[in-house]
Parts: sequence; structure tokens; C-alpha cells
Amino acid sequence: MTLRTDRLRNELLEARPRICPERARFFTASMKMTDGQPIVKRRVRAYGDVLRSMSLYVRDGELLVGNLASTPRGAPVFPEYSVEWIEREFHGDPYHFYERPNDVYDYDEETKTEVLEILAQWRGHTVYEIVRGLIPDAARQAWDIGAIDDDWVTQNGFGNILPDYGVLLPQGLRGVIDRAKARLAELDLKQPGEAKKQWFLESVIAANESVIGFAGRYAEKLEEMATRESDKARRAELETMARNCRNVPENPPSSFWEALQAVWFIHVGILLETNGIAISFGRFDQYLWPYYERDLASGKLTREKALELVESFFIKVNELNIFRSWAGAKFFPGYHMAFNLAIGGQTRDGKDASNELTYVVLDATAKVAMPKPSVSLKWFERTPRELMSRTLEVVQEHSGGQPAFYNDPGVMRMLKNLGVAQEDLWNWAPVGCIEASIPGKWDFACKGPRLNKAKVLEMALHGGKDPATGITLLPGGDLASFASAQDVMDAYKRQLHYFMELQVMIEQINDEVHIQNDLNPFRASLISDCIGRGKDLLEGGSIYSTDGGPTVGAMTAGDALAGIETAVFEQRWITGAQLLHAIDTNFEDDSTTPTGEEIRLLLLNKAPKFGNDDDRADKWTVALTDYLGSTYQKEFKNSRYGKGPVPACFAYCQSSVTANVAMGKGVGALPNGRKAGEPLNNGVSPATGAEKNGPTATINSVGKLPSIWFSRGAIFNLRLSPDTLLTQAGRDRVTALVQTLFEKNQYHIQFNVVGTDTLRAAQAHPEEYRDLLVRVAGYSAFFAPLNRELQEDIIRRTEFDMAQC
Amino acid sequence: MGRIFDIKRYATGDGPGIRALVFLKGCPLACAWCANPESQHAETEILFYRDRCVGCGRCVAVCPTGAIGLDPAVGLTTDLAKCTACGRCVDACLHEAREKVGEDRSVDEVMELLGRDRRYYENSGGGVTLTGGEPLFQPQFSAALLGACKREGLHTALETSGFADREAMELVLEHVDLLYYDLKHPGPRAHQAGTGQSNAPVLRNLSRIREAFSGDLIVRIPYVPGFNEDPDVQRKMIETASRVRGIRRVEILPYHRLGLTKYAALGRTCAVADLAPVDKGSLGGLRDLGRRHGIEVEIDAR
Repeated sequence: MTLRTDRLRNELLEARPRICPERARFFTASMKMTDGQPIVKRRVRAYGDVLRSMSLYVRDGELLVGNLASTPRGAPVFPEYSVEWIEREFHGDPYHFYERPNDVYDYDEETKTEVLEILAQWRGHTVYEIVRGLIPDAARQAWDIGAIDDDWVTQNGFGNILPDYGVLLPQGLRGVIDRAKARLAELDLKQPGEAKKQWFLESVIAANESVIGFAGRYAEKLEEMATRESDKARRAELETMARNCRNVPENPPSSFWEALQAVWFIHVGILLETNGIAISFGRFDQYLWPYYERDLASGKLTREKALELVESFFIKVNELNIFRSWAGAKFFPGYHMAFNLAIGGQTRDGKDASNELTYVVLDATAKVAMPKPSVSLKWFERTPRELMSRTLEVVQEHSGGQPAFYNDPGVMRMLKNLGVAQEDLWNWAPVGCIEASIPGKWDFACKGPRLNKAKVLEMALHGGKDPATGITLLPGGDLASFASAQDVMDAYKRQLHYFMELQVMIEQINDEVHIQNDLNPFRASLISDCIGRGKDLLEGGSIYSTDGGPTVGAMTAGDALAGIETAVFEQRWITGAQLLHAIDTNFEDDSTTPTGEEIRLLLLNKAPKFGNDDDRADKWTVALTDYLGSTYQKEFKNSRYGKGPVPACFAYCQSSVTANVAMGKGVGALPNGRKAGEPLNNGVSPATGAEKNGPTATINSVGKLPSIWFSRGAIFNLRLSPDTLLTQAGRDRVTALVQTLFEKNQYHIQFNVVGTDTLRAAQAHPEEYRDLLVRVAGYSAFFAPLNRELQEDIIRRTEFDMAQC
Repeated sequence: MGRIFDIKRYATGDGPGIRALVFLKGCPLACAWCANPESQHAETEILFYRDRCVGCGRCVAVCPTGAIGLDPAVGLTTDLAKCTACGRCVDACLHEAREKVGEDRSVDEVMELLGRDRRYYENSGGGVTLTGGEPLFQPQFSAALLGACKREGLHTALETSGFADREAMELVLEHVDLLYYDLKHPGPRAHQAGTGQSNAPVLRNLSRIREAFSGDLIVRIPYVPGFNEDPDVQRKMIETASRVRGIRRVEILPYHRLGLTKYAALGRTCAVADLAPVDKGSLGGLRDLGRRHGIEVEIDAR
């Protein structure tokens, strides 16, 4: 890392996130003037006003420019989505922004006053309020119970977008504008529906011109700064940067540096249009390679300079921030924005795609060692051993579980099953936490309410009643009445189906509300074939489309089913009624025989658990996963069905992020020995403490899962003891673990390598460990600022002992 | 059938790649420093971890021979004369305070388990390692198991004290790719005192090893203060090792105390319980010694 990168990084570590009112200010003022006009035209005008008016900054020494807010790590406000939580939290309910257990934001009184005034203008008109008002009572109750949860896509815009920079860079935004103009000229406005297309295409042109204008503002600022700069070297840099901003993103980049700047402007442009997260970078080492190769050959660039530029890019990514509710921050702690960035994988003709830039990205990942972006390696059978080894070294150096590993052929198999065309498969890239997408062709790689599978099981065991609230939505038999473990499973499936239906209903309404309030022509113009069809993404503009929110807790639920089968129906230690009483009393009634605690220990220590290569447990998780995966994909259509995209269905997502902790809090005791409120399992990883036979047995269990349904991702965390990756022999062994998991067609694996001692020390002395990274779920975060519960969950995730690894 | 006390499915210290470590129960030696005391006796045993016991008495209730008693002063006691190691107390214990060591398993049963991890071995260049106890103490079973592994194309390794009949050795070594051969002390009397047995068969078998075995060979020397830390003793062993044709290297395994809780769980005391663990950094001289004898010496390869 150069001195410059080091300084920029240190400044960023010191920077406190601040609430930035600018975007809300200019956006709201503009929207007030256009009431009654088509939403796409209103929003694009407001977008232009924001890009023309917001303040710009250039940090001392930085090589790339473009900011989201008025300060590094500043968080812009998007009042059109939700206001209620902001008002509440400004008043200290449940915390003031600056005193939250994690994800704090600072602000001054002036900002607070201004933001509250703006929010008042939006009250009653936000997407969140409109959706909540329109959904059926049962869906609202299911949401309040915590069986499903749509906060993340109703309090904010939709995200999980992946532009195809390989196509965009060579044409520039001018190319996008030209295409929209050509399409506009073809419209026959006498024909039905064409008027709407006209509005959309005109908005596409306006949006792209606004982003070009935004870059132009930087060019002016940089030119002006250059004239005042006394340091010759810096002056030359500022002049180059000004020229870069004059050329990109409007035109094709003429250098590697410009290509990075172009990607950056487009990325920030998307983030200023809506605050949907998980806008991803795709196959970074592929689309930037031609620029790198050309500049290196011409002598314009060295590997060292390229590394500094990529480091500078990574620093910029960490300047970005999102203003998130406390409820949201419990699910996505660490100011998580899920910007995925892929390396490796294969070329169109099946050759290894890695190149020198792949290794430059790895070096930058290790050296910058910050939470963003989420770097991902696409592995396939011809990925060089040297690349695996270097990537595993970086996992150790980064410490926060980056890069993560993705199964290239395995994901291609899943995407093919979903209906993705053969010629698109090779170029897929992970988006957000984990979900597979085809660059420039997919609408939202992840979208829709979350499903708490453990909560639904709890309700199924209680005759459909949620014990915490007393609410019954779909009545049925309870645990005391079931005659076999299969009866329990059948009742559980019936409840699951009911809640999946509610998920789908909510999302249909959510989409219709967004169509009326939240069309976004800039990002739509980057996804094929929105311009051709004259449609926004939500109207069916993309080639591919799926919905399906993250689901949580399948392994916890599977273990609970195995516990019921063992304790009640096979070993007959206790009856169903006794077990029901035991979980209702949180295993704390010591007046029964056996006592509540004895029942808990029987379930915990004597019943089989997922993660040990034991079919007695694994069969339940497999059956549950197969049921959910096939039902989502085969039974439910999303709102774009019949409008152009394929397959336009729902799909199964197991990207729990940290929802396993937040959702676990609302779930009572379960028959796997888990007490009320404890975390659920994370992704497809075994429940904490369940696996006892080492990593091969754990991988064998995961390997049994019906991964054909996993195109929306399945996070698998494996913790390694801290010295595992330090030797070549250790890295070779871990490579074999990855390879074997992927031969079993599974989706993903990531490693946590920080030792318990280090994590405990960081809890005791957070100030000394402020840049200690950990893998949280599909992303990395600094450990010290996380809340205590999450810290404990991370520590408890099984660390295979030294003798084992 | 073979008597096995553990199978570790992701072992990394005893041979290349990812390996299964199959621990055979029973050993003719009784080394004072043994880190796996539960491996020594051929009989099945019950380990009892007193610190995990809550004194609930479930084990007392299920014991068919009345071997488990409750002594108010010390907690649970086991009358080993009455204990048949049936394992019912292990099943009854809810706190994982009891563990049964020693199960009779057929070659097919073990192979079924090993087969589950076959791709890990193949992808990592790993395989299966037999250790103990002393695998040559159950020569028929060891030979049958290793033979089955070889038929499956798995890489095999064996860890032995070398204290075995010539016939047993030949029977088993036929199926071994990599042999770990222990040397503990060059002196007959000291060896007898530390391990309970003469070192004559160990040295004799090693001197003739190449008649029976052409695979990879590594000599392992436990480094135990108070027993064999004398430089002259170490030199003699390294010399002995260096005389074996085609030996890959010598590995020094410094004494550690990780086995102590198991002595307590077996109701035995470790003869060297007070011995401090060895500082690995102090053993660099052995590497130089190896170099002078033209042989690589590695300290604690695990």
C-alpha cells in the first residue's frame, strides 16, 4: 500500500458517518414542483436537480472522484421511501442515531431541523406507508409477528442491480443516449402504450445527460484546483483527473485510470437515483483488462500504479454509506451495502479467465483490508492452483473472509435450470451478498420479503399460533396431536406454503406501488432491454427477472424436526405434549420428569444434527430445502411475468446476512435444544455448535442439499483456526475442501480465520482493534463497532480446534 | 473385527493432504508420557470427565453392575472391577461427561465411513493413516483395512512403535505407502524404564526394514525431558535413523501435556504429570545435528 492509500485509509477509519441532507433537500424541492406529472419524468427531473446542486469534494491526494454525500462516509436521506423511523430515531426511539449499539450516525441540529421539515412533507406519501396500507391484514400480521419481513425493500429502494460494464465502457453513456434517441425516433405515438415509452426514453436521455453533467462539474472543480495547486506532481494529477472527468463516463475510456473513473461515476450515479443496496461491480478483472493490458503495453501504466489506482477505487467504495433504520441495521450491521466484485471464472470459450489484473485486485483486497467491496472468486475446474493459493493467502491477510469462493459450473447449472440462455451462463456474477445475476440483463438479483423458517416451524408446532403474540393465521394441529414426524413435517409445509403466499402477495403490491412512485430511468437504461422495450425494470424491461427475499433458519428447523423424531417418535423419551410444554417454558420447568433442562440436553446432545454427515438429521433439512426451492420456483410468478422477462418467478434465497441473529430473537425455544431468543443458523451453515465431526463431515452434509434451487444464493460459513492458511500445505488442503464442496454442486463458501482469542481481545479493547475485519455473512464488517449479540454469534460459530485443522 | 477408539475425519498432521486418522486401541508399550492414554489398554474403557459432571446420578441409575457409586467427598466413583464398559452410563449422561473408548468395527464398516470422504483425499493428495495405540498389535485387522484402502486406490500411512513381530510387520507393511517409525531411546535399560519394554525388537526391525518395505519412511522421535533429552542420546537416535536407506527425514515431537485430562478421566495418574511442555524454539540444535548426519530433522511437523 502506498503512503497515499495508507493516509486516505486512515482518514476514513477516523471519519464518523454523518447524516447528509443534500440529496433529500434538492430532491424534495424538485418533486414539489412537478406534482401530477408522470412519475418517471418527475423523478428524473429531481435526479438532475440533485446532480446539479449537491456539493462535491475532492480528498487530498485521491485519484478518483465522485461522492454520494457531502462528507466521506456521509449518508444521504431518501425520504420518498420511508420517514417514520427517521422521525422516531431523531427523538431517541429506540436510540438516538449517535448512540445506537452499532451503525451510528452523527448530525448537527441544523441538519436535524432541516431533515425533519423535509420528512413532514413526505409523511403519508412514502412507499413504505402506502404499501403497509394496502397489504391484507394477514400479511401485516405475519410481518408484525416476524414470520415475514419486508422492511428492507419497502423502507428503501430496490437494489441488487448489475450493469454490464463490458458493454457500457466501450460505448460510454453517449452510446446509451444515442440508442434511446434512435428508439424514440422509431415510436409511433398513435399506437397504444407508446406515450409511456416516450416518457421513459426521454427520461433515460435526461438521466444520462445528468450523470455526464455531474462528471463535468468535477472536471471544472479539478481544473480550478489544479490552477491553485503548488505541488507540481499533484497539479499534474489534478489535470489528468480533470481530463478524465471531461471524457468519462460520456465517452469510451482512453486509459485504465479513465475506465475506473467511468465505473465509479456510473456506480455513484445509480446510488444517487435510489438508495437500493447491493449495486454490484461484476467481473472487474475482465472488463477492465483491455485497458490495463493496453496501458501496460504502451508504457503508460505500471503494475504498481495500477495497484494504487485499484486501491484508490477500493477506498472510494468505503466512502459510500447508507442511511439505515435501526431495525434495518440489526439485519445489515456495519453500514453494509453489499457491493459485490467478482474475479476469476472462465471465458466465453471455457478457458481460465484470470489475468494479471486478477492478482492486482487480490493485492488491493489484502492491502486496503476494509469491508467494501465484497470480493468474490469464481472457481471452476481450470482455476489455477496458484490463484487459489494466493486467494487463500488474501483471506488470511484481509481477515474479514474476503475473497469468498463461488462455484462457477455449479451456479451455471442452477441458472440453466432457471431458464437462463446457454450463451449467457459463463458470464454470471454474484450480486449483493451472494445472488447470481447476468450482467446487464437481470432486474433485481434479490428482492422480496424475508421468511423466518424457524418462526413458521414454531407456529406449526403450536397449531398455527404464534406463542409470543397469540395470533393464529392458519389453524392446524399442534405438537401434542401429531402421530409421526412426517405429520409434523406436513403441518410445517402447510404453514410454510401459507407464508410464502403472503410473501408473494406483499411483493405484488409492493411492485405496483413502486411502479406508481419509484421508476428509475438511469439504472434501467443500463440493463438490457429496457431501452428496446421502452420500459423500466419494474415494468418488465429486463431480459431476466426473479423475486425472492432471503430466508433464514432451515438448518435450525431441520435439527428441530430431527429432535422431535428422535425424542418423541423413535426413542420415545418424552411425548409430544411433554416436548411442547418444555419449549413453552423455555426448558426451565424443573417440576417435570424429565426436567425442562434434561429435555433440552437430550435434544442438544443426544439427537442428530445437520452438519455431521448424519442422514438422520440431514434428511429433514434436505426435504425442507427441496420443498421451499421447488415451490417458490414452480408455483409463484413475480409481477413482471408475461411482460417480457424470463423466468419471472420467485426463487429460493438463503442469504441470511445477519438476520439469523435478529430473527432468532423473536423465535421461542425449539426442539433442537435451542433456547428462546438465541440465533438461528446462518445461511446453509449448520446451527452454531452443531457440527462435531470436522469440516469434511460438515461439507458432506451441505453437499446433500438440493442445490438446483439455489440460484439466489446459499451462504456457507466455515471457520478455520487462525494458522490454517499460513502454510502452502494448509492452503492446499483448504483448496481441496472448496473443490470437493463444489463437486457436490454447492454454491458458495467463505472462511472466517480470526481466532477466538483475538475476537475476545477486540471486545475488551475495541480501540486497539478498530480495523479488525470479520466475515459477517455475505460481507465483511469491522468487528469492534458491532453490537454485543452479533459479536457473540460470530465468536460462537464453530471454530474447528487446532488439532483438527 | 478391529478395536478402534477414534476416527478423525480431517487430520492434517500425519501424512500429506486431508487424511482420516484411524486410532487402534491397545499398545504393548506403556510410555510414561503417552498423550493418548486411552489408547494403551486393549479393553474398552469409559472416560469420565469429572469437571463436566453435575452429579445428577442418571448414570448410577442405569449401571447394570452397580459399578458407579456416589461418594459425598469426591462425587461419582467407578469400581473398575465391576465395570464392564457396556456404555449405558455414556448414553444416559446428558452433559457429555462420559465417553466410551473402544468399539469393535469391521473393515467394511470403517471403509464405509472412509469412503464418505474419498474425494477430499483424492483432491488433496491425502489418504488414510493408521495409528494407535499400536496398529501392529492388531496385525490381521490392520493389514485387511490397509489392503482394502489400497484396493480403493487410497494413499496409506502407518504410525508404529516398531515393537512387533517380524511377521506382523511384514503382513501390514505390504499395504503401506508411508511409514512413521518411532525411536524413543537407544539404551535398553532406559527404554525399558520409560516404555515398559525392551528396545531390541524396535532396533532390529528398523535395521531390517528395507527387506520388507520400500515406501516412504519417516522416523519420529518423541522429545521427552528427563527421558531422552540428553544430546548424546538424541545424537545416537539420529545416527540410527540416518543409517536407514532412503529415509525421508526425522521428525522430533516435543512432549506436550494435552493428554493430561484424559489420564484423569481414566482414573489414572500420568507418571510425568509435573513435566513442563517443551519449548520448540530450544530444539534448533537437533536440526544442525541432522545436517551433520546428512539427514533432514524437522521439529514438530504437526
